[in-house]
Amino acid sequence: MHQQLLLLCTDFSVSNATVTQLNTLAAQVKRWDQFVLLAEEHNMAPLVRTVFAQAQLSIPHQVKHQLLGLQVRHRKANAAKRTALLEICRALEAAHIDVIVLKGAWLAETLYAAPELRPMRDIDILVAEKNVKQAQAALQNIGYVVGIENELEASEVYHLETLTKTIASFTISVEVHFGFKSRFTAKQLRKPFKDLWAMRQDHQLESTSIYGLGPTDMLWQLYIHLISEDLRIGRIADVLEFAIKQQHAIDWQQLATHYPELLAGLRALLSARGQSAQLPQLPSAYFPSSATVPLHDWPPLSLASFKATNLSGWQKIRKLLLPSPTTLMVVFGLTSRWQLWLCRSVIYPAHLLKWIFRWAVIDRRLQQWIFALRNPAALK
Amino acid sequence: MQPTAIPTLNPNYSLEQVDQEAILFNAANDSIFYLNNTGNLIVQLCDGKRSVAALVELLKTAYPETATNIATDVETLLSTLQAEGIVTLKS
Repeated sequence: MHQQLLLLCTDFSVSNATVTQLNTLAAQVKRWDQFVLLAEEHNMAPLVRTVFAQAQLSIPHQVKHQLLGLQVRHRKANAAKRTALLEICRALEAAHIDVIVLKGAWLAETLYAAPELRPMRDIDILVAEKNVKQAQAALQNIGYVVGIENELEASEVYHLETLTKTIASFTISVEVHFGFKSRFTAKQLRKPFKDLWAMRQDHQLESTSIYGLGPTDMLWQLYIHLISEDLRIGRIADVLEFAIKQQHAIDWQQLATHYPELLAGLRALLSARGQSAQLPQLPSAYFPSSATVPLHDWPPLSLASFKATNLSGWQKIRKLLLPSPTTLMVVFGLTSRWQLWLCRSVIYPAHLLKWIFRWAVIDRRLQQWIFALRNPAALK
Repeated sequence: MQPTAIPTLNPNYSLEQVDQEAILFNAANDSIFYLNNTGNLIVQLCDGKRSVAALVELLKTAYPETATNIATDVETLLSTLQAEGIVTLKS
C-alpha cells in the first residue's frame, strides 16, 4: 500500500481522481514513519510532499515536517550539484568536448517544476569515447579526483571511475560515460555519439547551454535504467512524466518498431498507477493493446552471460528467482496481489524454465497466461 | 529575557521557505526546526541588529489585533530557539 501511494505521487498533474485515491490510501497508512523512509529510499520525498500539499491531504504534522526537511535537504544538495554541473559543462566546453547530460541532472532542470523535486545521487555525463580521457583530465583540472573504482567487468564498462569533489559540504560524484548500460538489459542504446549528439536537446542553465539526449533516445535510456537497476519509484516518475511531457517530440513509431517492450512497460506502469482505462495523453495507436508483452527482457541476459556476471552465487540465484514485486510489476504489468502471487508461483517459474530450456510450448502457454492476467475481464 | 538583547541566527542555520511553509535548516548536521507563520516572521526579523523590544514593537504595529500576545509569543519562540542553539541573544 505504501508503494501504491508512492506510485500515485508520480502523477505530477494531481487530477481529481488521483486526489480521491490518495485520500483513500493515506487513510490506510498506519506506519507513517516507514512511509517517509520508503519515500526517501525511492527518491520521492520532495515529490510526495508537493503532491500531498497540492492534494491538501491530511497527514500527521510530524510527517509533513519530515518531508519538508527532506525536500530542503535535497534543495541544498541539488543546488551544489547544479553548481557542479555548470562548472563541468563550462570546463568541457572550454576543452572543446561535446557533452550530453544524462538522467537526473538533466531531468531535474528540464522535467520537474523545481530541481529540488528530483533528488540526484550523482551527475552522469556522456562524451564520445575518443574524448573520454581528455574529459577526465579536464575535470581533474577543476578539482575532481578519482573516487570509487569501477567494479564492472571490462566488457561491461560504460563509464570511467567515479570522480568526486566537495562543493558546499556536499560530495559531488560524477560519472563520465562513453556508452550505455548493457548489463541486465536485453537491448542497449548502441547509437554512436555523433548520432546522439545530432538529436540533442538544449537547455539554458544560467546563460550556459547544456545538452541532453533527444527525446526518443532519452525515453529509452530512462526505461533501461528503470528496469535494469534496483527499482526506485522515482524512476517511474521520470519515465512516465517524460513520456507525457515529451509525447509530441518522441518518435513513437521508432519505439514501436525497435523497442516494443518500452511501450508495453509504459502501459503497465500507467496501469499500475491507476490509469489503465486509456492512455489519454499518450498516442495510444502505438501501444500494444493486450497480451503481447515481451517476456524476453527478464531475465535480461542469456544464461551464459548471466553465469559470467561477477555476482556471488546467492546473488545470482536471488536475482534470477526473486525479482522484486515492483520489477515484476514493470515487466509483467501486474496490478494486484493475486496477480503477483500467480506470477510468482506459476508464470515466473514457467518463464524461467522456458528461458533455460528454450521450450517453445511453454512460451505459447505463457502468452496465454499473461493475456489472462492482463485481461481478467476477457475470461468472464 | 532582556528586552535590549539582540537575537542573532546561528550562521549554520538557514531559513528555508517551501510554498507557504518555513523551516530552519542546518546543512552541517541535517537538523531542521519547523516554524509556523508567526515563527517564520519572527526569525525573518532576527537580523542581528534589532533588539527583542524593537522586534515586539514592530510586530505590534503590524498586527494590532493580536498585540497583547505578541511579547509572549516572541519570548517563547526565542527561548526555544536559544535552547536549541539556533539563536544567540547578545546583550
